[in-house]
Amino acid sequence: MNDLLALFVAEARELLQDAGQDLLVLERAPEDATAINRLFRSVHTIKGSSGLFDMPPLTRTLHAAEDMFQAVREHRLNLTPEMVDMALQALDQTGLWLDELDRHEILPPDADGVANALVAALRAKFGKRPGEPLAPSETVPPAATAPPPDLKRWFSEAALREAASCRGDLHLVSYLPETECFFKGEDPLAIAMRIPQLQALAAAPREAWPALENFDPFTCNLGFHALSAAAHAEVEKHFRYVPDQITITTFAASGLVEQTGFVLPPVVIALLREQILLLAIEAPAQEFAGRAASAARTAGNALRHAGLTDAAAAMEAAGALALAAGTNALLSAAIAEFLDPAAPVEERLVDAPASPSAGVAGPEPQEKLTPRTLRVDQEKIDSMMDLVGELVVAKNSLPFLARRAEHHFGLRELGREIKDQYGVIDRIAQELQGAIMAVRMMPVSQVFQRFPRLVRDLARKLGKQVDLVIEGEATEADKNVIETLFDPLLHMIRNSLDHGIETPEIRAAAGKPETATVRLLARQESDQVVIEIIDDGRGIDPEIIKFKAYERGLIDQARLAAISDQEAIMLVFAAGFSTAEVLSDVSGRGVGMDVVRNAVEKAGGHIALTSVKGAGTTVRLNLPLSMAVSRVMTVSLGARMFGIPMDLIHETVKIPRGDIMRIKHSEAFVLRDRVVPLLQLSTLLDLGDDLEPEDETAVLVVRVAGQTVGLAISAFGEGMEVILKPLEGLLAKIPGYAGTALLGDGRVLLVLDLKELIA
Amino acid sequence: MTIRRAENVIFLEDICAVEDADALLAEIQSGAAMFDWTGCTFLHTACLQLILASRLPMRGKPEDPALARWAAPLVIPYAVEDVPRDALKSILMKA
Repeated sequence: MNDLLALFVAEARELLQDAGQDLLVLERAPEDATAINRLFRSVHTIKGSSGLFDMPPLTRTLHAAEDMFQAVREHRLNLTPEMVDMALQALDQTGLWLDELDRHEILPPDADGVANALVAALRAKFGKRPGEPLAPSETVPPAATAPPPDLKRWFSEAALREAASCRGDLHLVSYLPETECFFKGEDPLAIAMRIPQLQALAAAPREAWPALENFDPFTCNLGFHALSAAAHAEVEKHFRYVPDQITITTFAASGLVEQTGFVLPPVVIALLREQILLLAIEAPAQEFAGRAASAARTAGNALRHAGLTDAAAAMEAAGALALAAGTNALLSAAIAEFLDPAAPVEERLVDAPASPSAGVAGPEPQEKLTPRTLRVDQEKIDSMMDLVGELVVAKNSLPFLARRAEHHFGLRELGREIKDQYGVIDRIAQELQGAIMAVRMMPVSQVFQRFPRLVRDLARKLGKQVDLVIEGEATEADKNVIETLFDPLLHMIRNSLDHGIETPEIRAAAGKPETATVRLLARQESDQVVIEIIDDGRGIDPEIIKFKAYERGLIDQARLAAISDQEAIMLVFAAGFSTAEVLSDVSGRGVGMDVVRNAVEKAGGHIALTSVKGAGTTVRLNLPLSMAVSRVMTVSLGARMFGIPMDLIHETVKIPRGDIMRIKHSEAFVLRDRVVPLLQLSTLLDLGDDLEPEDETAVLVVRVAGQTVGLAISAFGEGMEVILKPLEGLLAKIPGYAGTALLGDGRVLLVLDLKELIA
Repeated sequence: MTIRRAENVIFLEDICAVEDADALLAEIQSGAAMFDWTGCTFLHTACLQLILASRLPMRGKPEDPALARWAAPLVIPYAVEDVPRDALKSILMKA
């Protein structure tokens, strides 16, 4: 694809995401100026960039949305939920088009019609036909007051005098562009110079200039102060895309006259400027004296004409000094100094003037920092991960080589050196692995950010009032973990809203606040990510669960009588369980919580659910931070070696043969006063080879699917970190194996999936 | 070429865009004494802020009228003899 288009699509997606979030914020807090400004800018930026390509339907749709947001921003329109629906629809459509552009580089043929319908609907919301310009802002410009006292710090007296000759009101515009604005294609100087009816312009650094050695030329450290004689609305319109970066203070031009005391006629200013230019022209030595004297005289006369006798005298004195010193510089500097007495540029600090006359919103103090990131194709990272995996395996072969050198070839020295080298490579490989893992880490916000929209839509559809509270969205986990998270979370949030949360009437009757709260929390706990979904809905009634489970044949009558409430609640994770009385559009589409549990367990995590009837439900997911490296324990069974996921292993024990009990066909042993069933791993795997009975049996105590089970093996191996590769192709269908891992000596280790084997 | 160096003068000519800021910074860092923007038709903010930060004087008048009107007063004008501004101030105080 065209690079530029690819960039556009990627950027537009991010901006769309932001816009969607801001829209939801606005729906709750219509007065949130930051949100509406950001929303407006996001949409405007996409629209603007889309103009680079041939996609009028997309541009048109966003334009209509932008106009609507502008009307909202200017308080000419109140944002209703219907309008939010409409705007979200427009954003969704834009998202679909972006997908289309990503695949085919052009919009689908029906885009034009879709856009027309959307634009018509959007425009209808604020009573404007397509193309009709919005009515000018009705906001009354703030009343003119005294000029701000800081003017003299920024503008030369001459410039102020010129501005004072204007009629009516003047606006002091303090414009502080974002530091990152160059990257957005903005040129603040050009924007400032085009301010309508500009009277004076001053520039000042945002922060003191850094040393030139470490100057970043692409960070904007410049702000502007400008005086404009245009109407307030016109100035605002000029800055409509960066409204948060300006402050406007309005005052009467006549006040400026009072403040400066006099008005220097433009002709005098022009005359003085002329003298500077004249003096700047290189002249032969003999002409120097005449020219300096003439310039001093002209400047003096001009100033006297303006009634500035003192200044005239000073000017003539400077002329005399210049003559004596034999340099023009003194005189031209004197004139320049008079025209521009302001402090040197670096001393004119930018600070937003207090605006007693209530200007527009002040500059945003906290800049939105755009991290300098590199967009990399996920496949490249994945292949790097694979390569590191191979490196780790290759590295692990060195100790074997060292041992061979020592024992097989009798080269102890060489063996030791190989070991030393191994230490170095091992360290580098581990660091490399760590670095790539860090690259793959993504914040859970990647997934969480989709939920506010989802919850809003669902709640509206179900006629419920729900507040979604998200916490800990900065928590990070591996990309794969994050990616597996969305579907289970989606399902649980749907369940929560559909079954858990009551309608406002029922809630009110139960004495709860009408608006329910669903909390989505994430945090890191050692090497796991914990995610909780907590609602304050009706909770789960264990009696109903028990009954339904019995009805569906999931439990028998005996179990129905014996099952505890907590165990009953866990039954919602059983396959084929759904309690919804009506199959709704929202959830209960035949996919139950068992799918959720499987997805989570496949990712190496586990799920737990607690609920208090009438008070709400908490679902807790524990997921590994990273799925790339698994810790396994090797066990041997005769001559064979297998890997068992470390997180399932409870403990390792050796049981004397006499302590193993036979109960019919089953075996069991007693571990700390509990009877633990004992399974022969060789039987489970159907290996068929009978092992020599020994005096002691090595038993691995594991916890699988909530049960404690002992696995009889021949011997324990060692714990190691491996890169687990799932079985592929024909082998993928063989049950009981989680995957394979390559060992340092080149052997392949089969890693068992105990859940499949035992359950 | 938009950024040109001749001895100790950095010439800003034609369009001085944001991409030229790097080159401009390099010239400033290598010890130039002044700028000359006589042929300048466009000056991006990134270039302007370098000019201001360098505190070097500016010679001539830019070709673009808007720059001449609005940007010229922002820079330090080049006086024929390069006398430090502070020295000038003190002389003026005495006068």
